[in-house]
Amino acid sequence: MNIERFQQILDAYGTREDNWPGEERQAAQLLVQSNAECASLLLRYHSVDDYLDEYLPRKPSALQEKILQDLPGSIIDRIVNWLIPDVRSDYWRPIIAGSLPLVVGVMLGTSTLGGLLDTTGVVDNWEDEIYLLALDDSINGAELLDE
Amino acid sequence: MGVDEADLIRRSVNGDESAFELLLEQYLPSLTNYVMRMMANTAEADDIIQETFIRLWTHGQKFNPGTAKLTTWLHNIAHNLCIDHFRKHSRLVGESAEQYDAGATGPEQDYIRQRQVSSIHEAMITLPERQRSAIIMCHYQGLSNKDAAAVLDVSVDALESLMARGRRKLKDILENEY
Repeated sequence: MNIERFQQILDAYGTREDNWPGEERQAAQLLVQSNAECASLLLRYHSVDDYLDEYLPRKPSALQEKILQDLPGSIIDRIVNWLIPDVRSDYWRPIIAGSLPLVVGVMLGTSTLGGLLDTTGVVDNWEDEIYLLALDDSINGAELLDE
Repeated sequence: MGVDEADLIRRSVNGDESAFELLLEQYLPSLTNYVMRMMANTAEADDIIQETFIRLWTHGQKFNPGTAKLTTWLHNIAHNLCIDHFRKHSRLVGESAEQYDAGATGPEQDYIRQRQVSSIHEAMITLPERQRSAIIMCHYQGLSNKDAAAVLDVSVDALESLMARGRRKLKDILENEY
């Protein structure tokens, strides 16, 4: 440790020995004790640390509770919250969460199998029915008018 | 690192809220001090502190106890969130001196102390973010120079340069004022 390095330490870390780099602290302390120039340097640099001691953090708000309340849950929890935001009972949550795959399964089943199971051949759409009648040779326009 | 900290982190990553709460109790005061000193506004600081701990909850598995301390990892997240915030909002909105915990006694002392606290806060806020962060971590947070350099992703020499420039600027501002 020499005076040049000691001054660099004061420039960067200030005069508080606790803030000096751990591996150089002891050497710096010995230099201050043995060298009058270093002791006067220490006094010269003191003011910035005094200013910094005045830099107090603002009063903290009650964040702990808020952080715990707002923790994001699992994907199932988020879906349940989105679907039924007012469910507060811990008893109902797993039941609702467990029934979600069942509901999704029923919805998928009715939408895909529903078309396959429909064998009645009933045409619901009027436009399609008129089109099919027009293709039928056995019915002519006169018969239709008679009816 | 405490005896059970690695276990607490593992449990927290697996969704154990009680383990997370213990980590929160341990690190919230220190992180609050860091972010409150970095930011000019309490509401913005609150958002950043909350987001830091949500990252611990949701991305805790990314923390490697073998390569860093949890406090360094959390400071790194908080620092990056502060920098992101400064980039998005180039204007810092400060608060009145009454927001600071000045701890004075009489009305006259209150006034003088509030003015001093307000001046140093304004001076700190004028520093570039990395200089401010370096000074806060080494002067107040008790981080070693290596840990602080890791948070800022710079060498120890570069960290010392940041702190030296920041301190010089603070001295110039405040000595002109008083």
